[in-house]
Amino acid sequence: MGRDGWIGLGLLGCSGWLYSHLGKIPANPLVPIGPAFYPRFLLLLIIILSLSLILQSLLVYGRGKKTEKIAFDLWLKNYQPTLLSFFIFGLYVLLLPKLGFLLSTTLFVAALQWLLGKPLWRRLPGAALLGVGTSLIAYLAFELYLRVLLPRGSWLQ
Amino acid sequence: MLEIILQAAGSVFEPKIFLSMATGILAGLIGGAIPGITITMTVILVLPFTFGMDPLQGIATMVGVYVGGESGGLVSASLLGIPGTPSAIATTFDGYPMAKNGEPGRSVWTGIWASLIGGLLAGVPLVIGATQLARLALNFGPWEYFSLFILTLSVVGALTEGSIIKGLLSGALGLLITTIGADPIMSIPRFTFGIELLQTGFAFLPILIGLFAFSQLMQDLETRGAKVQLQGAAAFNLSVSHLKVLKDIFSQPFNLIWSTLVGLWIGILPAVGGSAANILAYDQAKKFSKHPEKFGTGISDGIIAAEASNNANIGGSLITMMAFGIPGDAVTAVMLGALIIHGIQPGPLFVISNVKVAYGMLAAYFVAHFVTVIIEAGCLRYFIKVVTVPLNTMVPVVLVFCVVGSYALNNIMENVYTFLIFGVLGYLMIKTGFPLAPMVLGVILGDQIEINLIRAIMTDANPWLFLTRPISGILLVLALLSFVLAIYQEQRYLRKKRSAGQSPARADIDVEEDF
Repeated sequence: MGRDGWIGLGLLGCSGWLYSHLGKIPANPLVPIGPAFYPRFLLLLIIILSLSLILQSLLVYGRGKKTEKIAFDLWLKNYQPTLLSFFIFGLYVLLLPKLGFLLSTTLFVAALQWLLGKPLWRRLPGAALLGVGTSLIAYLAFELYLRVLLPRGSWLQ
Repeated sequence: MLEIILQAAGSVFEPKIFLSMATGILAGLIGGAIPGITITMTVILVLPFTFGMDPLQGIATMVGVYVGGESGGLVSASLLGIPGTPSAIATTFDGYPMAKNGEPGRSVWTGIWASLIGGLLAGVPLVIGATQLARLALNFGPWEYFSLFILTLSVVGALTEGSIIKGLLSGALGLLITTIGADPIMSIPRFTFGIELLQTGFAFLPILIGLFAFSQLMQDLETRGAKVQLQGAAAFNLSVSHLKVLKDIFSQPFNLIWSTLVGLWIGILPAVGGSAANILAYDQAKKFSKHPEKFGTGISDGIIAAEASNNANIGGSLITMMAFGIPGDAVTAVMLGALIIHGIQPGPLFVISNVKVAYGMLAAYFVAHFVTVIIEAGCLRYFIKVVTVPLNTMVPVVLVFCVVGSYALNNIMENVYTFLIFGVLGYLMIKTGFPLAPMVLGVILGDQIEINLIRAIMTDANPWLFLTRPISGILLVLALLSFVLAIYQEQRYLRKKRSAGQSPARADIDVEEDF
């Protein structure tokens, strides 16, 4: 079975699990078809489509389709900027309510800009400047002009 | 009525609305010119700034971004050979060779003038079509709405590139996402599992920002590399005889009108977008041309076809959005979200009960086209310098504004988490060959489909009414036909590939190698 087949299997499992939870949704006497009717219909549709995806994958794989394996170091090289961005951005989202908007945004922009380019020490002041500039501009535009209360930072209060 | 329409149209010239729209156009031109920043992304970045504006000011700003973005894309496409937006891909085919042949000014200005004319021509059916279709849609009952939304989803699921099963799965998953949280009739919680984030369901805009902006940026990092900096922003001589360019354009009336119609039609089709419009129009222009062999060498015919169609596509997208509340593409999907934020329910009642906003929006569409040309005349050479911003600088800055945009919606971190979750999901979907458009449409239409389904059954429990009511029945038959046609086309494509001795799953293998 190819990758699509495994995805289909995953979706089948998830939709089956969600389907088992439909019984826990309370019925409503005012609405004849109840709040579980529509999700039930959708889950059945997803189950049918997942099965079709698995079947299609099995048929294609049965025709001798081969997935070419690529070396891990090459894979890592291809995906390094993306994985790095995922990690740093995830960290930023986690730290945003803790450190507040100004500090976390400055650190995030500076770190990502520096690491995505050539991480040379002489580039660090430029990256830091971009971080400070971005957070200040966003702060001025949203907090002061548009009156959006940006996260203050629970660790700093 | 005419007085109200003229009054609404005139309000676009109020200083604060006009200035916001012009700023939107400038943002669109810059965003559109930068490869990697799509028009959708630019609209997403501008969106939080419109939260505090009145509805017409906000919508006019976004129309400005949309119109400006379509023109911005052609600048880098013509001068650097890199389409600033997907809807300018076909512009590179002849625009760049023409610039390389020593006519950069003619290349850019042929595109700019063709965009203006194509956009204005499409504006006529937009004004007539949006209002007339909205009046027609007022006669729709819940059966017709349900069937219309099903037709929309089936068309999108079937039209998207790649596997039909994946397209339909993507749409069904989008619909399922809308069932998380309180049900739309009696607010009974579904699939919340005691998790706070799920109690109220996912907000629509952070989902959209995640699916379109985050996943696109990550993909750009992967395909273009973070350290790549575009070269070739050296000074171009952009002077040109505008009269000659216009004469050239008007000497091809069939090409101009046909490309506009292609763009308009693609725009009306939900969630297909300008990227398909400009390639299809270019292909059609080549097929109808007396000298097809010259296409790709730097002739104006190709530029006119591509640019007239992608601006006409805006008009088509706005027709579907205004008449039925169905987005014609990703940009109008964001605009739909913006309308809801401003307390306006998109759909046929939008045109009837929000005359000022609706007609003001149509007026903004026309005015924005002219303002775009004026701004381009003054600032064209500066846009070229902007495209040299490297991705390692652009990505963190854009991500910050996406986060603020998601957060500012309700001032809650849950929206930022939603943005992150759907950003990662969108990226994984792209990597595994699942189209994003059906999922987005599913998220947009999910509640409406459920509400109309329940309304229909509560009014009359007879399910056959979906088929026996004439309009509803026709729409459902069309949905079935589009599905059958898509299967037929997929099978024909696979058979052709097999007979050519190529593995039918070749494209699938390529994607898997990358994973």
